[in-house]
Amino acid sequence: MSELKTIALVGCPNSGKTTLYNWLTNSNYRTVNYAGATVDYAVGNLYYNGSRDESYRILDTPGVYSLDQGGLDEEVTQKILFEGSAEVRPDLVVMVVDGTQLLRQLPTLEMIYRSGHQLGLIITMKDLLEKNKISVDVEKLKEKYHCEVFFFDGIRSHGLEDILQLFRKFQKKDLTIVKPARLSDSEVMGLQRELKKVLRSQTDAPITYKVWTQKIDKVLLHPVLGFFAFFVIMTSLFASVFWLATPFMDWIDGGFGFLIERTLAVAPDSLLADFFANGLLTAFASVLVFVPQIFILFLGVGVLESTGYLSRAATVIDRPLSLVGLSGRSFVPLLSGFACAIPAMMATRNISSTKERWIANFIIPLMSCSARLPVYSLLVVFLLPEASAVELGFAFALIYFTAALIGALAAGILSRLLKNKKNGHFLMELPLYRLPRFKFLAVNSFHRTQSYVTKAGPIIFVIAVGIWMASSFPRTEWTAAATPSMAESYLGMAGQKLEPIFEPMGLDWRVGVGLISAFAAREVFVSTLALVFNTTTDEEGLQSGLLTIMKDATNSQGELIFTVPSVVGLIVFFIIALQCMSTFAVSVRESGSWKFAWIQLLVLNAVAYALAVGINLIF
Amino acid sequence: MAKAVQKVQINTSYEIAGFKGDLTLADRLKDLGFLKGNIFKVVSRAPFAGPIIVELDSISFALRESEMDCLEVIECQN
Repeated sequence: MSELKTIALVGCPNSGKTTLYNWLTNSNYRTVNYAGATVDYAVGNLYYNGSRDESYRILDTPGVYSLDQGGLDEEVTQKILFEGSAEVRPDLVVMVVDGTQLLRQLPTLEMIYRSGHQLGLIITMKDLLEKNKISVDVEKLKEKYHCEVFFFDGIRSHGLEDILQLFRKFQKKDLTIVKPARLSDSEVMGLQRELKKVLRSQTDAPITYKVWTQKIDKVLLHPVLGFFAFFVIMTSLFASVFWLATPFMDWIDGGFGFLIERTLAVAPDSLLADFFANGLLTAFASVLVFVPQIFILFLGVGVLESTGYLSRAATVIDRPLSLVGLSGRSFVPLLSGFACAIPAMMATRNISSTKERWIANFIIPLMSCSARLPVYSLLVVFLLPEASAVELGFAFALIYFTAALIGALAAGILSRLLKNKKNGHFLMELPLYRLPRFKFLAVNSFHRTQSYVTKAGPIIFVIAVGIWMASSFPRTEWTAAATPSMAESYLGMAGQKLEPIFEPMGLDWRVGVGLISAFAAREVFVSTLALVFNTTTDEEGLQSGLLTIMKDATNSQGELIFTVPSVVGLIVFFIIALQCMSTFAVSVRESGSWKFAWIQLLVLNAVAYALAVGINLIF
Repeated sequence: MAKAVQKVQINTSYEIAGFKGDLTLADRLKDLGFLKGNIFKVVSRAPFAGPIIVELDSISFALRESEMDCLEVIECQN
């Protein structure tokens, strides 16, 4: 077997690079953190003819407009190209160029060529070139850059075999790589003049590939209709996250409910069965129940991104966001925050301004992530037991709107506090609208969901098992019957010690235990509540059993615990509090500052607590 | 001789005559294809008096007013 060859794909954003990457690796890849940088890039394996004997390592680098400046994202590409450690140093750099934008992308190509890398050139958007009868003088490009040049059609994968043969043929060489200086304006213009004739139109007819894009933009970027369209598209995205996911979530919830019941029925008096059912299975259920929502949100954002709409959405919302010190560039990270704060914080890397990145990272935990959904759904259904699905939908919308408003308020305050720091820029390319490839989108969304489950899952799992142990001990005998009452368990004892903290919120120590467990992962709140209130699964699942118990639950003075003010206070607490330890860890990493992460943790939780207490005391 | 333009108008084409102000931003604009001598057309304005939408060659961009200010432009006739 020959030595493993590493191939880096480099190109401008929207050049079709990732589509080629998906075809090459069959979406069989993982994301890797570049040593010393916070940005990830994707590494995948390509097996020629499916054979493991002939494999290549393919790097998908973040899109670049130039090789000497830009955000954190672009820095990674520059590092891979010019500072590559032995592990990531590419043996071949494949520049992927959008054929319709060839001239604009020449400076980057020229810089890679000058750096001394072995080079391959792939021209994408072949379908658009053909449709408009534009020919490309491949020989001229080959001669100029001393490299192979191939076309690639991202829709039908035409040209893939040529590219594979290029990978097979080239030899690994020991090259000296030098980062070239930025091209001067006159050099760039000279280069474009020299290669202008490479693109030849065979017809006098005007170029048509942008016609559709122009027509659609007339509506989607219209001063009035544009905002309306934005509103409708975003509302449909969130609505579909709930509506489409609900049946799947019910299946998962119901399926685990059934398993738990059966497990307990097998050996009713066994501690082991109790551990399996109420410890392990409950923990699994609390992780997996969100998978449908997270998948659908990733898929929805993926569709909007690959069609080209996301950059329009960012444009439409730029002005309103600029009022609170942000820009349209923060839009995608904030939107992702509604799924999970962790990928959202990572997505702030393409925000060029440090100040804006800082504000966006601070307020991302205020975007109600999907882990809060089960909590909201329990509490909202408790407040509105008779409500129809539509009314519940409005209640949810109100919660999300409140969360976004609080986020905007916080951003505004932070922006005033940081007014001396430099503002960022917006400057967004609006790519042509394209039809998405659903297969790749589905696979990508699956990968991202999987990475959520594997990253957040173990933590949630360990905590859930820990809570089971704390609630099942101390004990004298190893039978389920000898399980201590909640008040006598370690968990109960700890909760009772901390009760004075939760009392002003109108809650007793049992809800307090739930709130403490929510610091592991918010969704654990519901399963812990079920555990501390000794809920049994009824025929409609865990939630309806819990709701029945909540209605009559009283504290040691015999007063109802779950009143309208205390439950509304709890909802507000969950909207604002930063309870997720994984988010805290990512916040440290992304901000590069423990101070930032601690301030964020303390401020958000203090405000959440103060408001929950305030609501309970005033109303 | 066409004179330098202070504020760009919708449905009008402009030629880039030079750069001013923030140099890093000017470099960024050049990286995106806003080179001296190139012509772009202002097509619309995003909602809430947001970014200016321009077409340069066959691609569209959204620029804030402050970013447009980095460009010295002259109005093209016809």
